[in-house]
Amino acid sequence: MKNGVLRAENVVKRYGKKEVLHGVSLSIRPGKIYGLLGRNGAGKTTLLGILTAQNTFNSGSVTYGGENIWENQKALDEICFSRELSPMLLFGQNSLKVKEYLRAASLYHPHWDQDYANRLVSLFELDTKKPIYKLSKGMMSMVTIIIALASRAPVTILDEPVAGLDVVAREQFYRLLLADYEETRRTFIVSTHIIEEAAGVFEDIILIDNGRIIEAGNCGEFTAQFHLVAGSEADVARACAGLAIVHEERLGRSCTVCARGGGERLRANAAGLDIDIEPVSLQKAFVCLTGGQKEGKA
Amino acid sequence: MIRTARYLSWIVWQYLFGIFGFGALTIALQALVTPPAEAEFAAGCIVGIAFSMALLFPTLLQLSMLPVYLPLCLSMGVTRRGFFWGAQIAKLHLALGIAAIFELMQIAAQLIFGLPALFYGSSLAGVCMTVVLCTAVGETASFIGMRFGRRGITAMFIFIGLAAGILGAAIGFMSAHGGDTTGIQIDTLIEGLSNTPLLGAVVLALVIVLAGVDAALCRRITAW
Repeated sequence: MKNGVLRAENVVKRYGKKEVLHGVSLSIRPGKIYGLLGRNGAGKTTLLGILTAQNTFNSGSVTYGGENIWENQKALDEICFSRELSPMLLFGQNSLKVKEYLRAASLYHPHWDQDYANRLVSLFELDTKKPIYKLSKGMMSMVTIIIALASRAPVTILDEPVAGLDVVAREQFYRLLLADYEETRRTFIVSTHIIEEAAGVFEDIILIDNGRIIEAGNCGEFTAQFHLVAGSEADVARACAGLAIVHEERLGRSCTVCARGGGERLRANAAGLDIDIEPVSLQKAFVCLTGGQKEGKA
Repeated sequence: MIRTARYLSWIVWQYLFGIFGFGALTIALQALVTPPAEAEFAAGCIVGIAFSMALLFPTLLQLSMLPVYLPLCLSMGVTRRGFFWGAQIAKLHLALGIAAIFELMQIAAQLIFGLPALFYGSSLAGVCMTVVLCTAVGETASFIGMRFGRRGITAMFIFIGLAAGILGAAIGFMSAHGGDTTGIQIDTLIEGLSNTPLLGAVVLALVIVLAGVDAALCRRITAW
């Protein structure tokens, strides 16, 4: 079962009458770093909870190594889902101490590396005697990072691991993640809103929007499909003929579009035209696909 | 299951040490402030406090403990079935630990104040069974809370309050003599608790039913 494929097929999740995941299917293959990207409320955390049997779902299936994951301790022992801690619980503040969290993690994760956990606690200068509700958002993120990395689980999922971290701590986290990946080659799934910084770490990306997977694949190949084309409206329209326009901004007679399609065709169309063509970053492609106007022009 | 049993039992033992300390302080305080003429009253106070603790603490501890540790354990990758069975083992530790502390307090009252124990033999066994039942009620209340939120807890406690009121009224009527209602008497309570076979059968049946309810509720609980 180790190094199996974590697969979701046609997963549907409803909260009451509201459907939040609409037939989601994806495959997480071993030995890659995946970025799970989506806007607030897109369904990222819900999906991750379902993939790790922490949340229920209405229909579909989730398997790991070909076996159903629900109530399957053998499969769940191979997966670590480290998500955002909450300072509040059902009946009040989360008064559990950091060391109690780490103790629980050491007990429940069969691959737990205590030495590594201790090194990370020192590196982050975390006070393990502090209760969770007294931690800052950044410190809570540090706890989730320590649990994820020290778990050494073959599939490790981090939900918003850098929320609240300052830029130095975020850089530290990415270095640790890459070092761990180089050493163990385990599978990581990282859900984040800070896309630009994390883009260099992701091999594959999964984009989720309004409860549906809209893109899944190699990060570099994905971003290579997009180009920013800027110039006069007429020139831009000629250059982008035959390409899909995913985002458009106009200012007077000039406009900037994000076009998706063959780079060769774009360069051929653009010959002799007074336009600028630039590559698009992962963040920009994400914003264009999920946040702006969408027009399909041939 | 084993991991959860170990983890929750470790937590239970911390609570038990705290309860033991509370009991020891109560006895020490009574011993210090009670004049010799009031020894019987003091011994009665200690046993009364111990009896109340034995019923309240397991209920409240289960109610406060499970909503903290069930989501934590689920988030660490435990199955609901594994957590449920581990929690049953921890529940047994809690019940037996509290029953043992109750008996220790009673023995201490006996030794310090030189008076015979109020609960012994079959009535002591009855107290232990009642502690087990209270632990089970607390567990069910916490699962209801986790599944249905605060409305579920409120409904549960209204139900418990009504049941307790009906039980209290029944004991009060049973203790009435010659037309005068003398209210709830400790000897009536002890007599009831001494009927070990009947009490044991009722408690066992209730604990099994409550565990069944807990198992059903646990199956669909989410980690958040």
